Amino acid sequence: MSRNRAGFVLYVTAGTLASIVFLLPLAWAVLRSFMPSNLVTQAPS
Amino acid sequence: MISQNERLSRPRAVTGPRAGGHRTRWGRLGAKRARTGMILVSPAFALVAVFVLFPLGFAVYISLTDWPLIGPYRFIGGRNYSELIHDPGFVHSVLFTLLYTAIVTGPILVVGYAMAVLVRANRRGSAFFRTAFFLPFIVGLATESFMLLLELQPDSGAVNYVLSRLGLAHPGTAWTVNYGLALTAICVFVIWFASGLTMMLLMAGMQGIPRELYESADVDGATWWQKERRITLPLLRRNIALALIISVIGSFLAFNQFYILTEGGPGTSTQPVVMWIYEEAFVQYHLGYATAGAIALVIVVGVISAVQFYLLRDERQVRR
Repeated sequence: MSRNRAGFVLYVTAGTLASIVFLLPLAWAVLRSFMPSNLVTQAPS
Repeated sequence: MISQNERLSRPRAVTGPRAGGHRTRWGRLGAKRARTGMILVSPAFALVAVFVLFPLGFAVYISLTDWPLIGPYRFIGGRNYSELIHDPGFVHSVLFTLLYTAIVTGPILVVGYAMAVLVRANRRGSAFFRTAFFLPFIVGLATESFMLLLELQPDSGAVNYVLSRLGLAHPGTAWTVNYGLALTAICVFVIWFASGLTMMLLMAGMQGIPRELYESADVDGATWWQKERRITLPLLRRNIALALIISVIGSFLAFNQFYILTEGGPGTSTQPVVMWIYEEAFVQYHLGYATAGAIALVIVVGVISAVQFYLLRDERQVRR
């Protein structure tokens, strides 16, 4: 029973981390699309 | 109740005084079936002939000329092909494409396999994870190449910002104008982009494996790794072959990411073979020469696919 639970925790953790890797760049690009163009090409402060 | 097809394909005894009559009737039916088959296949054959065979034949013809896109042309035989072998630009682009293919193919398969293992069972959240992993492939390579170009800019891009915060890169690192950095960035980007498709192909294969095999392995006390090695991998041979072939052909035909991110630079150091063909055809206007390169690429891709099919063929096909 505890082995199943550990497996599920591992599945959720790995899936969440991998989802961040795959979704974050796309979400960031969507966010960037709402910024004014002069801010997009500006050095971060 | 016997269907029309069954009636036509049923073997008949051809003995006795009426055997000749049966044979004639059977022959007539066979000819009718063949004619019907030909009529049914002809639309598909016409489409393939018009959109595949004719353009391919015409491309072979163009490759045997000095076609300049506009103006008169001459038939020059195999001169384009002999020049191709001695052209350092073409040879470099072929070698670069091979290097790029060798770098990305393995990681795409490994990452895709790992993700398929993670989401193959219908557990809570698996649909979300599948969508998340496959989304980069849906969005498209060209769009994401432009996104990456923006983020790779020195001083203003997010890549340099994050890496400099982690102490891994200088904020002014110019990724797209350095051969090693550009190749690294493009390879990581393509692995991120394409592993979702490999995951889908492998997951479909994994879901087709009967559960009873895993249950009997559990009864025998097999570990997770033993089940993967002895059950999943052997039964996934066809899916792995398909994923590998798609990945290798995709790498050989790579164009968008290099054109958008580096334009083949610095110099022509990151110029894949398709970009070389494009430059020769539509910048230099050497259409015959470029088409010879394209035909050579078709042959190389065909040979590699055939070898992969042969090496990864199913055991059942071998026994047959």
